[in-house]
Amino acid sequence: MQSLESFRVFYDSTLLPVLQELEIERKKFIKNFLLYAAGGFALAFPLFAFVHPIAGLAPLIIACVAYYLKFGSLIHEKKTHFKQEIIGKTVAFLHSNLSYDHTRCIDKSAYHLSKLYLENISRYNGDDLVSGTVGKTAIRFCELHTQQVRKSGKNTEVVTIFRGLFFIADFNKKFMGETFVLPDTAERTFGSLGTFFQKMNISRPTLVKLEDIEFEKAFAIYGTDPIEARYILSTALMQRILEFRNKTDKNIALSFIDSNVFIGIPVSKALFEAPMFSTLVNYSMIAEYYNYLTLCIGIVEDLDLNTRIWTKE
Amino acid sequence: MFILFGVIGLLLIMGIVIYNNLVGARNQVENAFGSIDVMLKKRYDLIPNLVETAKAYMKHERETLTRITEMRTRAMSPNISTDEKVQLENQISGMMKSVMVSVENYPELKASEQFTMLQRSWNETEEQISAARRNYNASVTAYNNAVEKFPSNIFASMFGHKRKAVLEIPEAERQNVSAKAMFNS
Repeated sequence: MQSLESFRVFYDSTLLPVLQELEIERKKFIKNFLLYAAGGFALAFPLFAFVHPIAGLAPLIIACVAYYLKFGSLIHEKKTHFKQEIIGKTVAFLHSNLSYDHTRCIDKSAYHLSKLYLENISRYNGDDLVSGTVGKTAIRFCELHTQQVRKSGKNTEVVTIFRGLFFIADFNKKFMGETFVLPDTAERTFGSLGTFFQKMNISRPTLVKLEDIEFEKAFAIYGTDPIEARYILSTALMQRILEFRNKTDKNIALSFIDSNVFIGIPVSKALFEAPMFSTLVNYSMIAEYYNYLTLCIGIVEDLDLNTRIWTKE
Repeated sequence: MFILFGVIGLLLIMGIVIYNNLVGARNQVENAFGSIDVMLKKRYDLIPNLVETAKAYMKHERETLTRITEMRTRAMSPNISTDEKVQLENQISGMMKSVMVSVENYPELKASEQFTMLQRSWNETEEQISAARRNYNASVTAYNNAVEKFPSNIFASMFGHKRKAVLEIPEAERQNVSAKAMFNS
C-alpha cells in the first residue's frame, strides 16, 4: 500500500493538473449558473411584485430548466471525467491489480446474500465499484445506498437502511454456515438485559458469546454453528476486527457467508464525487477519498486475508 | 385463595424453567465435548499420511515421527483416562509443531504438493480443535453460571449438578496456529 506522503507526490504530479483543468470548467459552469439565475430573478421580480407571487416562480423555473438543458450533460461529462481521471487514477496508484468503474456497483443479490441488513428495501443505488485481487484475495467494494419507502395513509417516508461502503472479499478459510458480527447496541445500552434481547432476536441465528471481552462489548455475534463461528473468529481475527473498527470509528457490520466476508461501513455522505459549489483544487477532499479507498483496500491486510495456510488457496 | 394458587403456580413454572435450563446447559457441555472428539478424530486421520510423507524426506526427525505415531495409537485406545488423553494430545501438538518447523531444512519436502496440502489440512484441523475447545469452555462457563447463580444454584444442589472444569488452552493455541511463519520463512 502506498503511503500518504507518496500520494501527495502523486497528487502534485498527476492529479493536480487535471483538477486545475476541471476547476476552470467548474468556474465557467458557476458563472453561467449565476447569469441564468440573475436573468431569472430579473424577470421574476416585476411579476412577483406586480402580477402574482406564484407568477414570479415561472421565470425562475424556466431559468433552471434552460440551464439544465444547456449545461446538464456537460456537467455530467465533467463529473464523469473527474471520477475516471481522479478516482480511477488513485485506485490504479494504490494497487495495479484493481480496476475502477464509476457506473457499476455490487449486485443486489450479493447485498442480500450478506444478510447484513435484513430490512426490505425499495431503492438500491450504488456506484464507484472497485474490484480485483490484492495478493491472493479477490475483493470488491463500492458506494451503496439502500432505502425503504414506508407508506402510512397519505404520508410517505423514505428511510435509509444502509449508506456507505460495502465490501466483499474472498475469505481465507472454508466454512459452511453463516456468522454475523454486528454492532452491539443492545448490550451497550441495556447491559446484561441487552444480552437477553439479543438471545430473543429471531431474525438471527444463535447468539455466540466469545471470550474476548472488548470484542463482546463492541459486537453481538450470531452464528449457525458456534464452533464454526469460533473457527472463523480466531483470537487474532477478533483483535484485528476490533482494531479495524477503531480505525474506521464507524458502526461496522460483518458477515461470513459462502466463504466470503461482507463488510458494511456506514458513511453518511456521498463519496468520490466532484463538488459543484466548492473548489476542486482541494487536497484535503482528495486525501479523504484516498483514505476511504485505502481503508477498503487495506482490509485485506488488516484482516490478514492473504494468509493462506489452510486448505483454501 | 386464588393468590395462593397463583403464587404456587408461578413458583412451579419458575422451577420447571430453571431445571430445564440446567439440564439444557449440561447437555450443551456434553455436546461440546463430543465436538472436540470429532475434531480430534479428524486429526488422528491426518497423522499417518503426514508422518509417512514426512518420513520419506526427513532423516533426523524419524524418531520423533515414530513417537507421534505411537502416541496417536495410545490416544485412540479406549482404555485411556481423559487426563492422559489430553496430555497425549498436547504432546502430539507440540511434537508436530517442531516437525513442521524442521520442514524448512528439507526443501524437497517443502516443495512437495502432497505435503503442502497435508500441512494446510493440519493447520485447519488444529484451528478447528482450538475452536471446539473454546466452544466447550464457553458451554462450561454458561453451565457453571447456572450452577452457581441464585436461584438456579438451589435446584443445582438439589439435583446434583456440580461445577465443571474448563479446558486449559495451551499458550501456543491462544496465539493461534503460527504456521504462517513456517510457510513464509
